[in-house]
Amino acid sequence: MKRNKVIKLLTGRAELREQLIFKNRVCVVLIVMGIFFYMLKFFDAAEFNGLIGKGEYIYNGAASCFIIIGIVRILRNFRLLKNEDLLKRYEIAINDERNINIQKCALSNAVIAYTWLGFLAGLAAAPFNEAVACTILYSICSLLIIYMMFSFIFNKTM
Amino acid sequence: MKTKIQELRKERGLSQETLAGELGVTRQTVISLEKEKYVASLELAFKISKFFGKSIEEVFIYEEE
Repeated sequence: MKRNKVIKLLTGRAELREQLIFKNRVCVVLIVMGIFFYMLKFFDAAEFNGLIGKGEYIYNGAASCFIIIGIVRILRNFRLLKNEDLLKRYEIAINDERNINIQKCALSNAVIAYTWLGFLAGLAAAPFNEAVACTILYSICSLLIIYMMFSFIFNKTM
Repeated sequence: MKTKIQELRKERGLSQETLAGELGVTRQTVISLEKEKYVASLELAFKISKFFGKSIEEVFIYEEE
């Protein structure tokens, strides 16, 4: 019973109120992760050969992202949970088929644009920095492989 | 796809907001349907037709290109 409830929460099929409460908990975890990332620099001991220091800007950026997103989401969810009318309008907005179609179209076009721009950026970067070019091109390849996997899965299930 | 949604809505003296609430969609969706910018899914088309007490063919006019 509990496992079914968790699966429903993770797949978005639970009641909206329960989902929002679950998402608040996830946001708290995000905020804690953000604080942890900020604190990492204090653990950057000599034993780690300054590893964490090399990625400090990335960890700081990720930490800021997690904390800001966590706080904004928690505030929004609390506002929705307090106001029944707002919650109902939010539920209609997230289940509205036109909104869902817009999101799907925007996402698919973004992926196509990312694929082409990434491919061109990878080719342009190749003469200057092979590591960067490889990273970009490998990420494009991974995206295409994941796309093919999902196409295969949906082809079988739909 | 041409529709008679606006005509039927005005006949019944309903606002777009009210119709959207009855159908469980946003007002923007009703606006897009009336302006024929958005084509409703089969499920939504059935809901709309049932709401107005008409058949799908009476509400949505399919024209072959």
